[in-house]
Amino acid sequence: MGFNVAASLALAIVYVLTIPPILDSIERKIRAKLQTRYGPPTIIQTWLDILKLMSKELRVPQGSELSYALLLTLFILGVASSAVLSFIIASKAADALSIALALVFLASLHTVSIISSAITANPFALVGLFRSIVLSIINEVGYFISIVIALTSSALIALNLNAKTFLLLSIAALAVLISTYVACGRLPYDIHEAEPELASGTLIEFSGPALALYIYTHLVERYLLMLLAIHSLFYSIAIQLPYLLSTLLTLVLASLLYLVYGAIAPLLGRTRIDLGVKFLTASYVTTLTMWVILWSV
Amino acid sequence: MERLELSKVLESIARGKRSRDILLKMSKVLGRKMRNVKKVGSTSIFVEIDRDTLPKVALLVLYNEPDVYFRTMVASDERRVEGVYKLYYVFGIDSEGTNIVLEVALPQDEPVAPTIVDIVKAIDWYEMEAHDLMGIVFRDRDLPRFVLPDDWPQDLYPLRKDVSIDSIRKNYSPKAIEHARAIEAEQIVKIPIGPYHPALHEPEYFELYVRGEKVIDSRYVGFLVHRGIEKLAENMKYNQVPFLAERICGICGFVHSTSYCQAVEDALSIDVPERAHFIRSIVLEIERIHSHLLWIGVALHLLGYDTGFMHIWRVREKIMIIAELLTGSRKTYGINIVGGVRKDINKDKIEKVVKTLNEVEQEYQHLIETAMGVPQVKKRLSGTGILPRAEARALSVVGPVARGSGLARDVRKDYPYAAYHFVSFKVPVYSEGDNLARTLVRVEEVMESINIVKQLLDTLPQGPISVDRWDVEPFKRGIGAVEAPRGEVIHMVITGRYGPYRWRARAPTYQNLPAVPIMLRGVDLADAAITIASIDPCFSCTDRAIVLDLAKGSIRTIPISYITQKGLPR
Repeated sequence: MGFNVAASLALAIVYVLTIPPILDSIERKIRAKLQTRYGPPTIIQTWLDILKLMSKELRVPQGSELSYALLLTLFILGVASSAVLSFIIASKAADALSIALALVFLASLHTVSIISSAITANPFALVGLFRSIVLSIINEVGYFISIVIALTSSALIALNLNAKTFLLLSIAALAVLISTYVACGRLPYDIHEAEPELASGTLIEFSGPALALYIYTHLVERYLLMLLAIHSLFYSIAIQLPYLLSTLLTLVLASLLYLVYGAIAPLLGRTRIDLGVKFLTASYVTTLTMWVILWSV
Repeated sequence: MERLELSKVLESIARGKRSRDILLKMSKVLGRKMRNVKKVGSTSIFVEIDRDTLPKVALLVLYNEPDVYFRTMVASDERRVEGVYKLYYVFGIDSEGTNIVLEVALPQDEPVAPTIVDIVKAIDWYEMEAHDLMGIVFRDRDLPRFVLPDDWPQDLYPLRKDVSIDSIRKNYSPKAIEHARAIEAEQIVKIPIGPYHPALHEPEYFELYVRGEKVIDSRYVGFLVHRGIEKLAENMKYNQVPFLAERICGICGFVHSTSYCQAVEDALSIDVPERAHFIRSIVLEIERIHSHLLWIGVALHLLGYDTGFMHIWRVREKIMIIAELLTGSRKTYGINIVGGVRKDINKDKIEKVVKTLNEVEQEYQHLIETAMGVPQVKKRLSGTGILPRAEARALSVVGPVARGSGLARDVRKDYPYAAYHFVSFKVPVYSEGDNLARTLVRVEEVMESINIVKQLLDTLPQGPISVDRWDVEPFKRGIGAVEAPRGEVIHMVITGRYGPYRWRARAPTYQNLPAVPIMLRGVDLADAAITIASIDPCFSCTDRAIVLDLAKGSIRTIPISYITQKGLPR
């Protein structure tokens, strides 16, 4: 590994592990602006919230002991996923093995997150969990396929930029942007926690340090989803840039995408599981079919 | 000959064609058992009947008439006056604005009446409440504990005149410690903060039976906080009660004080000055606007559209400022007294109010268009929480719930009061019966109310704002009704020497809640919250937290305000 790759990797890891809570604060500030509120006083507010939660007493509700143990696994997996994704970005990797590894890590992160909610006795958490499972089954398939076709389209553009390859990338981008948005669990797809209906659903049993750990890992996971999406869409540009610059560009673009999503969410209401499933199925079937038809002609 | 005379008498008592037809029909069914028909106040006709004829009258005369709705029922202990208990069944002829009140006397040694729940579905809760609080037995039906807690002593009926507040205190204290031990509270929770539902921040309890995401059935348990307000009022003077009445509801209290004052004024034939009527109507409409804006905000929050919620509440704030300008308070205005109001409106205030209302009107229209354009909002409101017209009719539901199910009921039009005869306005009615219909009714009513306030301010007459004096005459009966934001509020008063002998307040939620289980059947779990909220339920806002120390066997009460500010004390 050359110095440039090592420096890029260090930059990416530090960025991925520290910036998501700051992006969350900025998102809260944007949301507040849209809602004519003041919002958090500083852009490190989410960090302050996490630190404050960490200082609280750890209370484990009866029947939720295992889910608390799984939270630690979730955190470790979050850090490991950050390292894997950072390496892929820093080294501009796009080979099948690297991408498969990234997807496996992200899927594992999501799965452990789901299981941690499954092992509680709380009916609200369980309802939220089943919603999460149903949505994930559809969306993760959509996310994985869209990342693959986006990378394929980017690679085709790198080889030969023409109208067809550009259109292929545009269709793939649509699928990537939809699936990444849904995977983030923002409105209208936050139905697993849906505060008014489920009193925070999957999060209901977490408090204090456990909640802090969950929130932090969730924010990092959100950012990693953006990172892979940007990597797949801008791969053809990144490979033409120096390592440090391409890494920085990817990190910044992922941050911007994070904030754009954050600005879209307050403009929407919450969906229902049946409506969500219908919309996602229709979206993925349409976009993927279009991509395949265009690719084959 | 006798029949002809009776017809003439009834015709002279009737307030219009509909009440004349109904009274004649009653006389045919009852014959000699129809006694003492008299006009009471400006809108009511009281008819004394035997208890055994009650089901016949309810079925043949009233229930089958399409424009007759059941409004309220009052149980009253009149043993000291006439040696009997009495039941007053208030049926309203909406098309004419007349109340037909069936007055049924029950002997004090046998306070038993036939049930009419099979005929008038809406009366279910009233009968159970009359049994709980007054000890009236209704034959051929179950009478489980309803308002009072399960551990309330048998044969202690708090609304009976021989039961004082002191004797209630002596004979009953809540068995909270025993209950906590029975459910092994140490193992579950330390501090129960009342019944909890994430959708509404008031004491209520719904049990939803769910298969997958579909609600198959539901159960409602209410009356978790009963404040005994009617009993409290029996120890108060006439002009103290409006302040108590206003505290029935934290959002729309003015409707209750107005309704109470109207009932006393009706009973004692007090001629309220026109200017006072106008001021009452203005404040009532201001209350409707802020209540509807509050509800629309909450509904949008329940649908996940928090941006709409924030903006609607921002606009609502301007209405709260108007309320403060006109009455001196944002809420709980305290300006109603029997015979008028305590606070006048001057020219300067009128200008400020009109200017603010114009701003609100513009902003509101824009916000509603945006909110209704959000796909999730419209999709989740359409076709969910349906209350069919027939069910709405059977339950005599009121307010936007009735108007959302195709029933054009509005007390302001049907039984005009205060200054509503002087203004022109539309009553929005939708026939779909779903959450969207109830929402659109409220959305349009905000615009109508703004329009009404402007008309009233424009034509506010000069003159006094209250009567100089009025005289009390005991044992007169009066009914006052107001179209509250949530629907019809109806109060009945039997006058006493210094204060009301019996005061019965019926809020709209009481009439609308039995419809919720019907609306919930078949909805998705996600839409259960908005469906429950769609009736704009208003329970008593007196939730408290209690700390039970099982080791010491002590109970400490903590106001909810303390908890929200400082967290639970250790």
